[in-house]
Amino acid sequence: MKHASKRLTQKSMRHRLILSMGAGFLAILTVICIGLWGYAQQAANESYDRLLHGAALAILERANLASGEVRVDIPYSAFEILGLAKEDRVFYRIFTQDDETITASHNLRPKANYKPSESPVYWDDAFSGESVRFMQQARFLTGDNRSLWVIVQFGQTCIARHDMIAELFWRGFAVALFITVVGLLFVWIAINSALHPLIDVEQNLRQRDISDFTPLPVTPPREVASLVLSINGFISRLKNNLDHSQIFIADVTHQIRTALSALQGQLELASKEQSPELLKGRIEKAERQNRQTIHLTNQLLAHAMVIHRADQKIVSDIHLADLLKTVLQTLLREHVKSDIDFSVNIAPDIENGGKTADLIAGDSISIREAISNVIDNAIKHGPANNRIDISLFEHTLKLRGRERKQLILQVDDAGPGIPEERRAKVLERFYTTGTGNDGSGLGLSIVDEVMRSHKAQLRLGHSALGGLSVRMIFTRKTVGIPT
Amino acid sequence: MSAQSLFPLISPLSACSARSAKYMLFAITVLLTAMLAAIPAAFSQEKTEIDIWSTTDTAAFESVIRAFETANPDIEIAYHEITTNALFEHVLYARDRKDTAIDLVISSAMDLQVKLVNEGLASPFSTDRAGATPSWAEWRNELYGFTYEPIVLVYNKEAFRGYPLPKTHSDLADLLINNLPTFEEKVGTYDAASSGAGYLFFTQDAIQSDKIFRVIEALSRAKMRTYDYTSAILDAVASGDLILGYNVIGTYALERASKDPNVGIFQFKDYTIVMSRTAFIYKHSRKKREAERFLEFLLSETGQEKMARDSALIPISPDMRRLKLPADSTNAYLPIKMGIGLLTYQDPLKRRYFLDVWNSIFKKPEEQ
Repeated sequence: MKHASKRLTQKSMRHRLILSMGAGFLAILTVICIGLWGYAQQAANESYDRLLHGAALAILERANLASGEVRVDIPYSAFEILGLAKEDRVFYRIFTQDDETITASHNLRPKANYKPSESPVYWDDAFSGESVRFMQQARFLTGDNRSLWVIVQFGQTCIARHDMIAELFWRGFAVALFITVVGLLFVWIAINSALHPLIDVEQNLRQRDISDFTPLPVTPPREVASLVLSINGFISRLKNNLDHSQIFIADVTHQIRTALSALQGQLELASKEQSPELLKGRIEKAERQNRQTIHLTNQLLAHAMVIHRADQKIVSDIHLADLLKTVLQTLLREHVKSDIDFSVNIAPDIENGGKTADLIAGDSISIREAISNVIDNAIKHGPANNRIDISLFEHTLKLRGRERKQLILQVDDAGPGIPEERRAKVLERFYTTGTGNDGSGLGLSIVDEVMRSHKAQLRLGHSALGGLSVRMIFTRKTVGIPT
Repeated sequence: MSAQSLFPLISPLSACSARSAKYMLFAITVLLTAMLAAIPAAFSQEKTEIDIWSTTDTAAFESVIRAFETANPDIEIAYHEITTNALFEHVLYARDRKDTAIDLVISSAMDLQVKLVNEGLASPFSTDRAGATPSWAEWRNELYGFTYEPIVLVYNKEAFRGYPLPKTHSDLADLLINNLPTFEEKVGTYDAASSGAGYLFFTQDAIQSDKIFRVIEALSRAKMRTYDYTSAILDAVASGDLILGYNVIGTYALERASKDPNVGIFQFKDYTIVMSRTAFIYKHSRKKREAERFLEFLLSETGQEKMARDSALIPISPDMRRLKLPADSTNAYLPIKMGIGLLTYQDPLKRRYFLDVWNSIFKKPEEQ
């Protein structure tokens, strides 16, 4: 299995799914992290703010007014409480409502616009080269002849807070990360089990013999079942196509063998002929048979070429009017001595309509082949004094409110025509009307093939001249021209 | 600097007096040139000199410094001995003047050290021996305790004969009050107003026990005398000027007791405060790496063992300190916990209240 080891360059659906799920999880993780950070910060601040609050309460409890003087006896417990944040430095100042320092470790700046209150206020600031959490709380002292607010201000460095934030955050993060990893694992398992039927289909197709056209088994998941049904549809169409090709090859073999056998027969008869007049007749017959065989071969090659080019999807800009003129020049040169009355009529709005008036997209060689086949057909099946009218004109089609310009190439002849019920038949390969004896049965089939590969329409009808009317309807290519 | 090989030079500070020079930044610089000085090491390599400012007696620290210098021939130590309060003020003064001639600060006044570190004057230092230092003797990875020194009662064996040794602080108070005529002006301790260590021990007493007020009352009635230096108290006890020395740093007392048969030491059984000498690297030091090496040495097993065997200091390492602690070791040791709590009695107002009371009781008459 050389295929299996070959790495595919296409993106893996598995990778794409896991990547997109991973991105989703990452987004969720980011949101969780942001939330976690905020939560950790709040929790750490609340916890350690309580220490400040407790210490302030302990100090304020020991503040009193004695004979008009504020006395504060800081209890050991106050600093012990603060010492619970073991690594943190502490700064404090105790002052009156008039900003008169009672005692202090540092000359701290009080909170701006502070209104003494028994509920604590907190804020963050930088002090002594570190980020410091400040807190301020007041107590109203009443004395015999004087009452005032005493305010305690604490500052504490944030080491313990930061440690707690980090701890809370990383713990939460570890849990979130674990959930993410487990989630992704489940996604991976889910993807694998979802893709399993596809892998079955792949293996079935890979191990299949090329002549095996049995349909694939349709297995449960609906999405895969519809894919399998499509593949089965394709297999059956492929089988049809292959069958057609086999029939075509058999037909071709048969046609050419028949033609060559007929030629062989004529030549054999000619070689045995003694009388020069009769010999001449034989040779003429042999020559006609040969010409017919050549024509058949040419048509077969043309048919094969047309199909091949259709497969190749060769597309270029073609000026239909110019192409038509080229084809006609060649044809008229061949039939200059015949009695056929050709008339060509190119509508003036195309002739004078500028460069894009006759523009279509397609393969010029195929289209030329189609046009010459249509005209050839008219010549071959018509009488010697046939009349053939060739016209090219524009038609505007209104389709769902939008206008579409069509270019119609119409060829009318005065030949026998084709009865309506047989018009579909003549488009098949090797079907001849049987009136002419040198038809290959491929002419209109080639035209049909070209029209189909160009998404153009081929209409056969009854001509006003009495014979067949062939319409080839192309869609005009619009280049920067508003329709 | 090799010219100033003054070693050994005994600091005159330990010989007491010099009270007038209390807050002066006098420090006797002792350049402890290692024994290597004898070897022509002058051209072998450039030596880095680090300045250690310390309250520890030079004599007590000398052998440790020598051992360090021997092991680290690229470092030379300038050792400056100074009193606790003077050291505190010197460091603050150096900060204000942006003086960088301080590398390591060593003091027995743990509260003053905590206050300096709280000022942000220490440089963090993580040691491999961090686990070996008990948590009460370490703060912020900046301040490290390296000794384990009980605070003891010193007594003159001759004069004390006949009296029962007090087991607890209350026993001491009873003893003094019951024998006031004997002990009047015969009890001495540090002057809490001038000695940072003395202030620390008394405030720790206040925190540890409420019986201390009875003790203070008794000391007050016995007209306790105050001293600035440990050696002065020990000298007085040895000579018989004092019968009892209260709250004396055990290290120096043990040293003296081992040499002087007349000096005895005693540890209370209710609680015995344990002080640890602490060191931190000065924040604006220009030779932090060398200072770290010295601190690392102090905390290392080698340094601790050297301390135990060749110096008066009692190392903090549990194995080593057993070699040095007095035989009648109690398990009532209460180490002073390093941390913000020590700032309580360093509050200016609180300190003032305390010293007001102290001075009203113990102030020497000639200065009142």
